[in-house]
This record gives sequence, C-alpha cells and structure tokens, in this order.
Amino acid sequence: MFASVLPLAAGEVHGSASFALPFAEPPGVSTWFVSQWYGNTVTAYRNRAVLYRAGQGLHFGVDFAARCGTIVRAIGDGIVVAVDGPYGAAPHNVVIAHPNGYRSLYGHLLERSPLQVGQRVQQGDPVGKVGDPASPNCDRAPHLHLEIRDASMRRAFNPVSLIEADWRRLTLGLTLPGQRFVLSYESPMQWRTPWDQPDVTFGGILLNEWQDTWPR
Amino acid sequence: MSGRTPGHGERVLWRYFLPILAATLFGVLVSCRFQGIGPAAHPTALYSATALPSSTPASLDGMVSTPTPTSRRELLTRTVPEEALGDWTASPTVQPTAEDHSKIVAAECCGVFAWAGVDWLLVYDVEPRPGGWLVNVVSGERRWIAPRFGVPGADVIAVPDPISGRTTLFRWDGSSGGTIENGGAIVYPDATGRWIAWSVAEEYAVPSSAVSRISRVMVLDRASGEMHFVGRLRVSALAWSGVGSELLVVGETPEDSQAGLWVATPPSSGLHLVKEGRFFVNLRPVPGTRSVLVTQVLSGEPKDDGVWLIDLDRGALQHLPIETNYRVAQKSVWVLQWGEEHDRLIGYSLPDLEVCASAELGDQVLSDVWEIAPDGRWVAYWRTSDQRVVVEPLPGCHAVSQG
Repeated sequence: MFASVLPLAAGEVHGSASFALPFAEPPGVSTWFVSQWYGNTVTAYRNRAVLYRAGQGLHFGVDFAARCGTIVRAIGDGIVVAVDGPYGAAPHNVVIAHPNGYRSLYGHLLERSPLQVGQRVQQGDPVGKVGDPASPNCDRAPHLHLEIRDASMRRAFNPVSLIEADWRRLTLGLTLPGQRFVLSYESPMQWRTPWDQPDVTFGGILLNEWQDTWPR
Repeated sequence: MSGRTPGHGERVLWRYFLPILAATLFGVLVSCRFQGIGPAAHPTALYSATALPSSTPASLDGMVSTPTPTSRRELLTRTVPEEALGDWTASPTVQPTAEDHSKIVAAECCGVFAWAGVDWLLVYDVEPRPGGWLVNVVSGERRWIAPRFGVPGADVIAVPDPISGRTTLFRWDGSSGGTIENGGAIVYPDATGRWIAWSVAEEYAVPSSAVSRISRVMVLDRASGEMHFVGRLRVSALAWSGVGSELLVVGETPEDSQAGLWVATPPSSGLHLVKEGRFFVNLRPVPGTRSVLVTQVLSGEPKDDGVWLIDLDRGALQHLPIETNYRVAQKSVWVLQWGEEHDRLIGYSLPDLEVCASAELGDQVLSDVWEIAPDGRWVAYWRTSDQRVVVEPLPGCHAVSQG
C-alpha cells in the first residue's frame, strides 16, 4: 500500500508507516476536520503560482481546520529535528524525524513549540497548538498544515497514504474547494481523488500549469 | 451565536460600496460585456443550479425506461441527431418504484456533474466526445452541449471558457443564447432565467489558501442586458435562492471583516446580512423555495455549530439536528452515511425534518461527489469502484412525510 510513496533516500525509510492522526479528539464541526487534501485541489490550483509555487503548484500537505489552541499531537514516535525551522508554514513549525525515515512537519502553530531539537517524542505526545497563518486573532483561517517528507526534506508525500485513518469521514462532507480536485480538460482523470496524487519535489516545475480547467 | 441584524449589513455595505461603486462601475462596464438575448419566455427547467456545483458523468445500467430496446453501451454512446434537437420537448417521466434498483451510468469518468432540471443531469464525459452532456436519466437521451462543463440554469447552461475569457450561455438544444465577456468566470444563472451572477477577483495573492480573495460580485439582467455591481466581499460561495431573484453570498467585508451570509435582490444594489458569523460552508438553497441550508463550523460556540435552515421570507433560523454531509431537494434533505461497502442515504422531510426514507446505494461515493435531483427522485454520484457517474432512483420521501 505504501510502496508508491517511498522517499528517494533509499535505506533511510521502510516500506510501510503506521502514523496516526494529529488530534486526540474525534472530528466534528466544533473540533477539527480535513479542510484541504494533499495534491491537486481546487484551492491549490488557484494558488499554484504563489502560495504553492515551491511545491510544484500542489498542496504538499493536508490541512486540518481546527480552533486555535487545539493541541496538535505527534503522528508517530521520533526525534524532534527542527523547531521553527526554514520550512515555511508560518508562524511556527515543528519537524519530527521518524524511525522509518519519514519526517512529519506541523505548520501554522500558534506559538513556538516547547519541544527541543533532539527531544524524543512518542506518538500522541503534544507538539504544539493550532494557529492561524492569516490572522493573529485566529479568526480567518485557523488550521494545522501537516506534511510528510523524506529525510532530505526535499520531497513531500501524500499523508493520506501514510496515516491510518478513515479518511472519507474526515471531511464531514462539507464540499469545500480544498476538498475538491481540479479537472484538467487535457487530462480529466488525472489526480482527481485524495488517493491518487503525485509526490512533490520542492523547487520542481509546476505540475498543474493548466489554462483550461474545471473549475478555474 | 450571532443573530440576524436587519439593515445593519446593508448600511455597512453602502458605506463602503458607494465610493467603490463609483470607481468600479466604469471599469466593470468596460471589462464585462454581454451579447445575447433575454431569458426564454417559458423556461424548460424548473430548478436552479445549486451553489458551486461539482459534476461527474456516469453510465447506464438497466434504464428505468427506454424508448427502444438498446444495450447499455448503445445508451452510453448514442447522440441525438441534429434535426431532433430543435423540437425537443420534455420526456415523459417514470416514477421509480421501491423494487426498481436500476443504476444509470451517466458518464464514464471524471466526477463532474450537476442536475439541470427534472430528470436531466449535466455531466462532463470524454466518450464519445469530450464535453458537457445533458443526460435524461429516464429515456437515456444524451445531448452534447459544449466542449467544457458549465452551470445549468433555468433555460441555459453557462459554460466558461478560460482561454477566450468569455462565458457562453447555451440553450438546451446546444445553440448559443449569448456570451458574457467576464474573463471566463464561472457564472450562476438563477431559477427565473433572468439573472446571472458571478464574482471577479480583485487581488491575486492571499495570506492563506483558506482566505477567499476580495471580489466584485456582479449580476447580469438578461432581460435588459444591463450589468449591476452588487458588492465587494471576500466571497467564499455564491448561489441563487431556490426561486431565483435573490442572490446569496457567503463572505466578509474586506474593510471591517463583517462576515456571514448575505442576500442581495437585484437590480437594487446592497447586501443584507442574514446571518452573521464566520466559517459558513455547504450553502444549499432549497429548490423552489426561499429557504436555504448552510453549516457553521468552528464558531467557538458549539451550540452555534452545525446545520441551519434559514427562511429568507421570515428571517427565521432553525438549527437542524442532522449531519453535515447533506444535499437538498424541494421537500427533503438527504444525508449520506459512509458505509464499509455501500453508502446509505437517509431522507428527512422538509420542513418538519422527520426521517422519511432510507436507501442503500450500490457502491460507495467517491470524494463526496453526489447530488440529489431537485425533485428528490434521483441521486447521482461518483462511483468508487469504477469512477463512473451513476444515477439511482430514490424512494419517495415526500410521499411518506405527507402520509
């Protein structure tokens, strides 16, 4: 199941992962839900040239909408390798290296994480709190941006393929633009579901530089 | 919870919009142009499109009714002769029965579709010819409309062309009913056939993809050909009420971040705040009525979160105890329950909201892409197993609730 998302750094990752969701609470309208999938989402397409340019125009993580202050938890055992490192997802982020070679990045945290680089964490341990990249008042776009990368941090993979979860239920069926995928008229069946999305190489060419799409 | 604030929203918007209106009206009139004819005197469809429709094509397994015996593949590929398009009339409808488990494949791929009217589904399909197709789910008739998908309205299908920067209004026979030069924006025709709305983004970059762009909301009066500036908001959703003529906008003012569900009644300008608050999603007008369903999330007050039924006539708000994965028909609300092998739909009657029907689907719905027909007799969904768009009949919810 996970073979297709192996990072390039051979020998540093194993063929499977058993990551968990980054929240302890169940999903719901007052707790959290998936607001944007990884990949060729409508939202990513509309922001491909600026916000997601570095990620080849795709959304290179999964966004979980949640109230600011919601506790974010480690998706697997590992060692903290960065706190507020140079990986975007402002205002604060944390990166954890896992024994299977993957690294998880927790972005848009409300405040600097109390974790220290080199500190060991276990799956479910608190990593930080959900913040809002668009407003200090937490009233615009509060959410966690979760990425899974390889050890080089140059490639990102679809967390949907690496986290054990009943993903279908996690959108709450809200039909947000981030929960939909753009249809390119040139290739209308490409990258249209949460389970069918390409890996991202940071700095690579735009993968979705299309002019003729639905929607636009 | 934020209650209704009659008139306040309008005052706020006028305060900000009047100067903007003067500055933008000239530019809008220059940058947007409409060429075409007015709405049909007798619209052929009864219902308007829902907000931000997604779409999907499907295929046809065992039609409910077909004019002539034909194979499934023939149904998939059959096209209507050109000469037959001009004198098209509505097909006789067939009431699905509880014993009828027919599944109609409306498209071979892609998961892009919207209900266009009674028994008619607009889908995007690649076979036998890529483009937007009108499919009659009773007769199996298929009509190729345009090379792209669009938004169905009362008497036209509005097909945006991002390459030419123009949106073409196609009649149901495939002929052109006019064009709008608006940059190729997706437009939303209303149920009366007179009004068409769209938004034009004013800014390019946003601080987060979860933040909507500041946009000008525009309305075209097809009767006069005039365009009207409605307002300037960070628009996250646009839709017409189920009876048309009233434009619903989920958004917030750029200047003071007053957010909520707004209503405008063109040609008079100005937006009224119907329900104030942030994070309104899944806006779904009730077909043929002046009510709308919308969901509030993450408000900070759990009692305010969830599904709301708003009566635009009375301004009444009703909190509905249903799950958020809903679609709306004229007299019923349907909620999708995710299953291990087969998903299930639960029907609730409107407005009393009693459980009135349950239907197990033949498969799982892919990526939450499903739509209920405006009359509640069909569900179209993107099928997980083969990624086709299929249509299945539903039990009569309204009949149960009336009994």
